Amino acid sequence: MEKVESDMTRVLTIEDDEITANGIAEELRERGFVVDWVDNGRDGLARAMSDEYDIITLDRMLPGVDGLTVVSTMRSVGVYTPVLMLSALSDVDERIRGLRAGGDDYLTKPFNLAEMSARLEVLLRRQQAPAVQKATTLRAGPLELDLIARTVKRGNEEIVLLPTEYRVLEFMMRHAGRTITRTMLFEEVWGYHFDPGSKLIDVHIGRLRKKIDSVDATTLIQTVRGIGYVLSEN
Amino acid sequence: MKEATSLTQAVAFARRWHSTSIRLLLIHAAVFSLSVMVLLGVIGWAVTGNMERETDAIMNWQLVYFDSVADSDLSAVIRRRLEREPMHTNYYGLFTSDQHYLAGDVMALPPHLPSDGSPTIIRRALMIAGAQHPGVVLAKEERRADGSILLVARDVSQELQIRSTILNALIAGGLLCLGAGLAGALGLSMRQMRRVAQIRRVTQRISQGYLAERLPVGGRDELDMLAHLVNRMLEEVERLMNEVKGACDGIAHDLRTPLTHVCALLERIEEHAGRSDDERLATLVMQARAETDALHERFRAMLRISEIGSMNRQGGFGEVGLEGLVREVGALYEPLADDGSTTLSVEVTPVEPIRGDRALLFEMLTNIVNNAIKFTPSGGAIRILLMSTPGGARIEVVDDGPGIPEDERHAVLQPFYRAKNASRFVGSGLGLSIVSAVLRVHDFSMRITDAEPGTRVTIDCWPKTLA
Repeated sequence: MEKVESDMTRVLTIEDDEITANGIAEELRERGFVVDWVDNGRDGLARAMSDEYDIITLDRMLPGVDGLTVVSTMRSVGVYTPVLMLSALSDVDERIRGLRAGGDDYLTKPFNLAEMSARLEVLLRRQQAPAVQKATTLRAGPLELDLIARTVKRGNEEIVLLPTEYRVLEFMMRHAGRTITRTMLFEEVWGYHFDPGSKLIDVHIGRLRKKIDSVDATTLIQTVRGIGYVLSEN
Repeated sequence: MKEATSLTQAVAFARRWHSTSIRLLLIHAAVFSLSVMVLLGVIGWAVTGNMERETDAIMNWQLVYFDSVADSDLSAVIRRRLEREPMHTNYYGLFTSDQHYLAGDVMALPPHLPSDGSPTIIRRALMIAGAQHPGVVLAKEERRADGSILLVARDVSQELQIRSTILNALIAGGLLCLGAGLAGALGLSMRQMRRVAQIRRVTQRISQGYLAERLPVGGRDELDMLAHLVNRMLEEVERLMNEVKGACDGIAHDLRTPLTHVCALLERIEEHAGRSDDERLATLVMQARAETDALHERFRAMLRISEIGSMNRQGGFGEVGLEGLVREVGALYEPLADDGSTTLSVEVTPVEPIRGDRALLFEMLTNIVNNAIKFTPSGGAIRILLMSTPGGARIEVVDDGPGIPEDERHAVLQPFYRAKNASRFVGSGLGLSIVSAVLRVHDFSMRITDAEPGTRVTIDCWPKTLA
């Protein structure tokens, strides 16, 4: 089926809880997405197979056909729409099961709506710009990151970073212009799935900020209050 | 190497000795062989005693008989008696008062014979006609009225042989019984020990949370009876645990959904408030959000604890290099310590890799380090130490903060407990409970001691219940 509005991002929300679904839908509509909501796995699977969505939020526990079955069925018939799994089950094993079945990311309920949309944006970006994954140099505004030599420059000045700082910056540059939450950073850079407290990530960002802003006073990493950070694209 | 082996054997033996069954069996074997020896001894002494009395009686009767014979006829009587001694078990000798031979087959009077007629043992020293030496004899001498000396002797070597045979049988039989008892005890106890070891292994797994495990049963002895009882109990415990867990999961799910709703609603209210420029409303909503966030955090920590506790997570177990892990935690928290004007240092000595869940151990250590940073005033120092001890790897987190009073050290590990001087710090009060939960999964032990000044948290990274 052809996409109706090619310039609008279409989201399919498969969620049996009405209030959660309304929250998701309202949040995403405010960000300019078109949201369709389905409250059970059977209809959700049928819609997902139609391939007319850019991204799907999928509840793990659904009446009838459950979330895992939906995503693994989709993948087995060749539908590769990105899927963000939402689940009340936070066990690491559950997370692994969800990702193994074909989910692209996994978020535990109760979640912050901003956290959810930040993750959706990152998934969409990954889907739309696969070239970024293969590039050897990343650019964001005056920043330039050489993935081979593992060096960072702001303008012509080289900035010396510690390995962790480098990984944080690389992740932010891959998703420049998008809001990155603290949990996303912690999961991506350190690879752990628990809440280390927001202050810990803040001090790491603080250090990175100090280094990349040392050559020019214009702050490149902005704090998004209560959510995370954004690295300006220009 | 050899010493080590013999030491292990000694320890193994000592352990075996401590097993009740082997002790009982050994005592039984000792008592049994002792009784066998006593029984043999009694039979032996009864038989040889009887033979001794008989010998004594025969000799006495002979003396009585010779007493009735006139002195002049005695030599002839002795000769006649000797002619009727084909087996040659009795010997006679008649001597003058100055010990000169008169008659009989005993050629010389043995020296030092008591003259009162009490019997004396003579071994291979009696001189007899025909040059042949009798074995052991019992001899008696009697002074007759005419002054001559009459010697009567009887061969008792057969009796002595019987006695020594019985004595040998007694020792050999006793030793044999003791040996057989010992071997039996070892054999039986080894089987018992194997079963106990098997039961211990299973019990350890059950205590680690594998409630589906059952004790092995195979026979009908006391151990099996107990195993059956324990298994029945385990079935009940497992059923109850599943019921409770089911209820908890249900409650957790039921509570999470409305909490998510409240958060979502507050977020939307905040956005609206932002648009309408109502500052009072914006502040109130912000406060409400802070409260729900705190609730959120507490709730998440609680669920995390029950999750870790009920985890069937040996699947996540693998070899963990603690050096890397400790360094990683140090690097992660160094900026936070620096931010609070404290210093965080890591001191690592090489240790063997341990078995564990890396992610959980990391989470545990971050909670401890986070606490140390939180409670250490600016200017203080926090040290993470990794060291090797005879028991295994040990991690210590030492700070020079205010420390935890001794009476609170155990309590801080309980969920929701907050130390009296901690009320001004934010937090769920569950950090150390997460630590306890991770320790339980690994069966590691932790101590909180005084670092003078400050707190020293010591984690021994080896199972408490040694296999």
